Amino acid sequence: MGRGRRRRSEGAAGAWRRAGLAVSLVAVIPNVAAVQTGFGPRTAQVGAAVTLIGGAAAQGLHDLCFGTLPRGQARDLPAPQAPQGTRPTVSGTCLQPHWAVFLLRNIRDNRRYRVTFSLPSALTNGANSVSISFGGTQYGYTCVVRNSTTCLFETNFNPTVTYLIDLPNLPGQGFDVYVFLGGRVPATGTIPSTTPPGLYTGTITLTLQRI
Amino acid sequence: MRRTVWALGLAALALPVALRAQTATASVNASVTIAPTISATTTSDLNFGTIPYGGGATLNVTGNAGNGQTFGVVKIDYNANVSVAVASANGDNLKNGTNSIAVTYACGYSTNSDNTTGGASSSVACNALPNLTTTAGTAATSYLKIGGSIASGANTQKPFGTYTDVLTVTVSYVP
Repeated sequence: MGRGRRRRSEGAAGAWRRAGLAVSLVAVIPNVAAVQTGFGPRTAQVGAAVTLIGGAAAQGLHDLCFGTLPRGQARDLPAPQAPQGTRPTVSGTCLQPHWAVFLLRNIRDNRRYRVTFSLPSALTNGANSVSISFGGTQYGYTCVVRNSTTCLFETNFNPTVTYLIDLPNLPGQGFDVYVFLGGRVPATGTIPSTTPPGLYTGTITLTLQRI
Repeated sequence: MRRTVWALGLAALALPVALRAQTATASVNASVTIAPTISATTTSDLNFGTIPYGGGATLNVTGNAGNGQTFGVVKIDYNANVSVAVASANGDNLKNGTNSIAVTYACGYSTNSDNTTGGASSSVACNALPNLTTTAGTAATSYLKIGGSIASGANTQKPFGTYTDVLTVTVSYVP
C-alpha cells in the first residue's frame, strides 16, 4: 500500500518533473537552436555573421565600397533616397563604389525592433588611416519587402542614431527589411597629400534587437 | 514536489533569459583604396648624334654625353614603390624606312635632370630596371636616363639618313 502510494507519488512527481522539464525546454531550446542555426551557411556570402532572434535574422549582403580614390579628392556615397518604389539592386564587386547592404529577415509588423550600428571613425591600413563619416539621413535607407522587390515601406535614416523599426500594418507577416548604408571618405575635406596609397578597411556591425 | 518547484523555478528563470537574448548581429567590411600619385614626363629624347659610315656610338648613363649627343630623360614622380619598364617600338632597332641599325639600350636612375650628364649610379639593361622605392606616402622624384650603344660597323652598307625608334616608358604601382 505504502509502496503503491509512493509509486503514485513518484508518478505524479515524475509527471510534474516531466512537465517542468518541458517548460524549461520550451524556454531554453529556442536560444540553443538560434545559435546553432544562425552561424551556418549564411556567413558565406560576405563573411558576415548571422544570428536568429525569435525567427528574425540579420545578415550582411554587401560590403561598403568606396572604390579607388586619388589623394586630394573625397567620395560622398549617399544611400538610395526614398522613394525608390523598388528595392535597389545589390550586386557587383568592391571595385566600384557600392553601399553596404544588410538584410533583416522575418520582421513582424506587430513588433518593434531597435537597429544600431557599430561604425568605424576611420578606415585603416596598418598604422595609417582615412577618416570616414556616416552622419546624416542621406547615408541610411531601408526598403521593406515581402516576396517581391516592391518596397511596401521605405525611409531614410541617420546611421549614427538608433533606428527603430516599427512597421505600420502591412499585408501578410514576416517581412524582409533591406538596410542600405552609405558614407563619406574622408569625413571632412579631401584625402590628405601625405596619405600613403593602399587599401584601407574597417568593419561595420549591425545589431538588431527586438524591443 | 520539491523537485517540481525547482523545475518550475528554473523554467521561470530561463524564460527571461530567452527574451533578453533576442539580439542579432551582422557585419560587413568598409573599404577605400587610396591611389598612388605616379607620373612620367619625357624631358629629353635620346640622340646618339651623327656617326660616320662604319662607326659606332656609345652613351653611358653613368658618364657624360658626347658632342651632339643627349640622353633620353624621363622624369618620374611617385609616392609609392613603382616598377619601370621600357619597350622599344622597333625591337631594339633604329629604323629609316625598311633599313635598320641594331642598338643596345642601357638605362639607369639619376637624381639630376640634365640630358648631357648621366649621373646614374649604375647602368643596366632597360628591361631589367629595379623598382623605385619610397616610404609609402612620401613623394619622390627620379630621372630615368636612357643611353646605350651602336656597335661599330652596324651601319655598314646602310643608306645615309636619320634612324629613329620610339621608347615607351611604363611606370606601375607596386602594391
